[in-house]
Amino acid sequence: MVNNLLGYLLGALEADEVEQVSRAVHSDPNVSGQLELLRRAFEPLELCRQPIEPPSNLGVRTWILVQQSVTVRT
Amino acid sequence: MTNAPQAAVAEQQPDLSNFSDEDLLLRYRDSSDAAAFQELLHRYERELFNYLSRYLRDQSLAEEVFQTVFLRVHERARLFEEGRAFRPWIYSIATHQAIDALRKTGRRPTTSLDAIHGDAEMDGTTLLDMLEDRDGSPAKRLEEHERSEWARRAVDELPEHLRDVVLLIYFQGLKFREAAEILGIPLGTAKSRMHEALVRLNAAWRRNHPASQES
Repeated sequence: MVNNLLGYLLGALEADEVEQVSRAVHSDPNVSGQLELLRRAFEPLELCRQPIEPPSNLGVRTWILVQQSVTVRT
Repeated sequence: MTNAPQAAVAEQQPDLSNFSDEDLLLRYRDSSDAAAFQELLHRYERELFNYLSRYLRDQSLAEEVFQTVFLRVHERARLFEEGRAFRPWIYSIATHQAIDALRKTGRRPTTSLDAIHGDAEMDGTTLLDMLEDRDGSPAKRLEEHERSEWARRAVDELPEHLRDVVLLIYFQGLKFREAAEILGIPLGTAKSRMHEALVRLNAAWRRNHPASQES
């Protein structure tokens, strides 16, 4: 159950599993207590969640590279 | 009158921003529509670069691998089958390319957290107990820079099989099922690895920051 509670918090479960966990959380105070506690498990990860900015024009440069590879082959 | 050809072109080119990733790739596969490929590049530029930067711990290598990934997407588009999901497919290519790049550069991840875990920390109750014991946020007593630097290092030092799951599921927001497919592991293993990674990270925090246990 703990693994699915973690998955629920992460948004990593499939729709049917989400439904199962939701039902358990709403019907069992023990489970909802565990869910609240498990939120804290992610705190160390939240500390390093800052997004990394890609270099400028990475997409454009990549597209040019793809086009060049097409030209080389034809 | 001169606007007629332009209008015809505009009519032929639909608004690709409404297309699913899969439809974009199929469009590129079937009609070599450059705009469809560029839309995919645009959608995945930030996301995939973040993944590769974290995976490789090197932004210039990540840039190189990012370009290789899209070259592979171009080359393998004809193999992409209808009904398949694009996101796990491209992540699978990215992960394999990243592994290749690390192999070529001779780099190996460190595993110091691997050496210090105990078996008793591996069950769910222990994770819950560990969290129950913790007094307040682990972050409160350290400067922001110190906190994020510690966390970044701790993730980097996870054993590779756990780090892979954390990167895909926590940082990239993939489902357990998708991560399992990309890594070629059973679904249950993806779940238990995520759990194990959290146990280790939280246990490492406790060991390294005992002050956070004080009231």
